[in-house]
Amino acid sequence: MDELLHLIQRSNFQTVKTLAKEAGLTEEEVASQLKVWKENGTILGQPYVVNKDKLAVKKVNALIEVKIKPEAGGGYDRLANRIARFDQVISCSLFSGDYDLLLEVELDDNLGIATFVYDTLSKIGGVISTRTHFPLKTYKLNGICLTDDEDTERLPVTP
Amino acid sequence: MNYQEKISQTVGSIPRSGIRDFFELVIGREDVISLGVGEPDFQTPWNIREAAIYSLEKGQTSYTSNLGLLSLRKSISKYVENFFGLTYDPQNEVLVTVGVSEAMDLALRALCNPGDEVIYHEPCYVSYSPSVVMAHAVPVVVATKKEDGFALQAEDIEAVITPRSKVLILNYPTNPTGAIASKEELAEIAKVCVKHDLIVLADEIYSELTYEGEAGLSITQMPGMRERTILLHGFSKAFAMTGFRMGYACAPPELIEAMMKIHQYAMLCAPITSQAAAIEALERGIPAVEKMKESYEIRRNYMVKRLNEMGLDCHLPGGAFYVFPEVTRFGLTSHEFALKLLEQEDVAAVPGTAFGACGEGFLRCCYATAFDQLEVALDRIERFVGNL
Ligand SMILES: Cc1ncc(COP(=O)(O)O)c(C=O)c1O
Repeated sequence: MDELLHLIQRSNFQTVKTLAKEAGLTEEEVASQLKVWKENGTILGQPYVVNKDKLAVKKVNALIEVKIKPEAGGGYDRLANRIARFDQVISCSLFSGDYDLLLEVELDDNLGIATFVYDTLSKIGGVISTRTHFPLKTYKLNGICLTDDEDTERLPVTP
Repeated sequence: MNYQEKISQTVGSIPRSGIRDFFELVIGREDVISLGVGEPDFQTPWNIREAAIYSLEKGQTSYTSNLGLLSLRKSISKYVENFFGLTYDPQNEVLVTVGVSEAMDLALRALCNPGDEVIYHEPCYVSYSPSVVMAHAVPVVVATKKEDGFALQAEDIEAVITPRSKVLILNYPTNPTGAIASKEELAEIAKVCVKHDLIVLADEIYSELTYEGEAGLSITQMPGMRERTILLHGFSKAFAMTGFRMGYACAPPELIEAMMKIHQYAMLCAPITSQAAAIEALERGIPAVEKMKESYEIRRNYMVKRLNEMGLDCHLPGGAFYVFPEVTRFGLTSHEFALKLLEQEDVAAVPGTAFGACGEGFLRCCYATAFDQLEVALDRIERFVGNL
């Protein structure tokens, strides 16, 4: 099952059939394990891993560090959940360290990001400060190296 | 110039390798899926490559001790103790070599006088016989059989013993059959070796890749064997480091000293960059080996099942990354079968005869190939067999 978990996270374009073969399980085993994982919330969805540099219509992604004020009783959770619910926010986690939340947001262009930060995020009561980072180039995405090893030719017949 | 006259008779007497012949048929053909390789399809794990890069960055570009870096020999000693349960002193019982290939050559040259007989089991790795000949010794073949799972039987060794018998080469898991030997079989062989005072060269290069029974079983562990065994091991297969050319020999000091005498003049030392990578492999590379092994095992099971289903009968190979199916029922020789398969379906698998005469009737199919490629190759073989 370790192999299955690895496969569903790392390799794309998998059907139950191919997963079964590569994980050395039967299709029934794969299907029932996937069902269990879906039901108990271990697996949440099956998004494709998209290399956005290749998209014809470019989107702009950014990481935003957010400092927020913890509330009595709820701590960070209530505010974090509120922020996470915006469609523009792809991921949102609470961190130890210099900031509290790290958001990944996706918008149509830089102006969209700016507007989201100034008009939306910073207006939420409890948000103390934000700091926005734009990625310049991606080298690895979801465990997939974008500049992978060259296909070094193995000799076709060796002892 | 008549070069044939210039070339030594010993070298002249060695026939062309069957692997080379087959290689030449395959090379240049497009769309071939090759099951003919003898190396992992994985690239060396990144941390090991990083260690090699770092070693270069630090400027480690010199010779090392003839025996190899002491730190590497210590790592090897510790690893061999953990994996095989055998202790060797890193100071004088471990020699770092350029692959098991060099270690095997050194051992044979260190041990053999002209005319001494070296016994080994076939089908086997292609270099044993020529290496024996180049050491001016006489190769003595013992054929292994499919019904024994291609494991060498002690009584078959007894049958070829002469007063000149000196060395026995053992290789489990075996290239090309994937055979493994049981503890009982090894114990019986050990008795024969003690009785006839043979030295054993134990080629353990595939030992981590053992899927059935105990990994790390070696003849060296049998009673009376440590003193008469040279354990040969390396990094090529388990750590996917074929291009680094790293191997080692573990043996009593007198034997290591004899091998070192040749090594220091012929090779001086193994490359330092590769030695640095090898330390990283032993210290932090084991989890990667486990993962690769898991992946090979899944592919082995798939391939064995498919081949058996299509009537290419094969025993379950206990180790390495080869399956050795039988093709006799199709009325073709191994070579004819392999050639037709290549021409009609663009799948390359090596005829069993490349690994010794008793490999007739078999093919070596390597499953260290990407799963989707393996699947297509097996579909093609199935179609080919269906049309025969
Ligand atoms: C049985 C056996 N011994 C030795 C070797 C050579 O290994 P190395 O790369 O360590 O020289 C091979 C390689 O194919 C092999 O199959």
